[in-house]
Amino acid sequence: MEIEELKTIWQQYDNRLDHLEKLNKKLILETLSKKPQKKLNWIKYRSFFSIFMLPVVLTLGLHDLFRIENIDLKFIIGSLLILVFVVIISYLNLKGYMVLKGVDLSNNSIIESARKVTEFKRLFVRKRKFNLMAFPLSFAGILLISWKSFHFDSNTIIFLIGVFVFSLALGYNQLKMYKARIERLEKEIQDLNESIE
Amino acid sequence: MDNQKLQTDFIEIIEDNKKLIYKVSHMYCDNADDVKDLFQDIISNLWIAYPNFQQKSKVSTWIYRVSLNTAITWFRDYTKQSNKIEYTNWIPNIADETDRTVDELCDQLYRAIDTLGKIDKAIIMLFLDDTSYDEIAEIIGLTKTNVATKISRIKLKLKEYLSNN
Repeated sequence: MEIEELKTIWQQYDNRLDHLEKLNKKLILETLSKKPQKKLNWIKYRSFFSIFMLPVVLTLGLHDLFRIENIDLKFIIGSLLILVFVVIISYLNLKGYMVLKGVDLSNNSIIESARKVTEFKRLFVRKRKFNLMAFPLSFAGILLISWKSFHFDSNTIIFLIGVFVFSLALGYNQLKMYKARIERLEKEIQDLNESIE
Repeated sequence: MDNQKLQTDFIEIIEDNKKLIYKVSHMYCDNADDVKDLFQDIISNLWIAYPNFQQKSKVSTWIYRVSLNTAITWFRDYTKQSNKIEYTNWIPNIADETDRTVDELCDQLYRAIDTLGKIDKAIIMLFLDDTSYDEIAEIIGLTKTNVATKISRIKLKLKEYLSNN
């Protein structure tokens, strides 16, 4: 099939679309009045709330441990580990939000939009990878912060090992789940970059 | 302009350009549910952008831009469908069911175009729709010369695919 034939087929297709039924005006009006949640906005809001979610959840969960008598070297190291984790995740969420905030479907060119989407996907992949890699450190951080609350008898140790193994298994499962998604996203990013070049 | 007048004008514009939205939705999705979702998202995005549409560019250029941008920025992986309005007949059907050969050839054409990247798809669609190089350049964000080069490359890719299949 030659390119000219493609154009002819497209023209035939276009002519066939002349027979499209009239759009259901009632349904469109109903949709417009209900303002269905757009995918892009949903992700934008999620990114925005994620910036604050982790610090708030951790502060609420750990605030009881922040007492003068608890502060020692372990506590400080634990706090630093958690702080680094929270700062990096919040930074990646903030960057993602800023990228999506800049998307203007009405005025951006297709290439501008593609660049922003690529950047957002890259950040998404980076965040997932970081989450999985930093899990043992964040676990250690929480453990060190709450060190004084534990009485290290055999039950506690078994419980902690159980929690660690369970979380690690969960993390590993997530890694497997995201691996395919990450590979697909990376291929998409590569395709987009090739198209832009 | 009051809201009712705005809605009436908007629906008229959508009705006049539904072919274009239909083509973009089909170009970027490979199953009926996704086509329906994308079609609905495009209408929704056009409605949100409509009050600020300055008519500096042609209506079709604006609709192409919003539709293609919606398709390019469409995150099907990240969202849940709970807020979607489910309409069985949201997407209009083609009333004329007589010419099936056109459908088959179109499937072949879509398969060939599907091998292209997202931006190349947009360029070839605009080219096949007889959009001027100036307009393609404006919508895509390339220079006119780059558009011509891109189209030649895409044609070669399609030719290669079609001769092998």
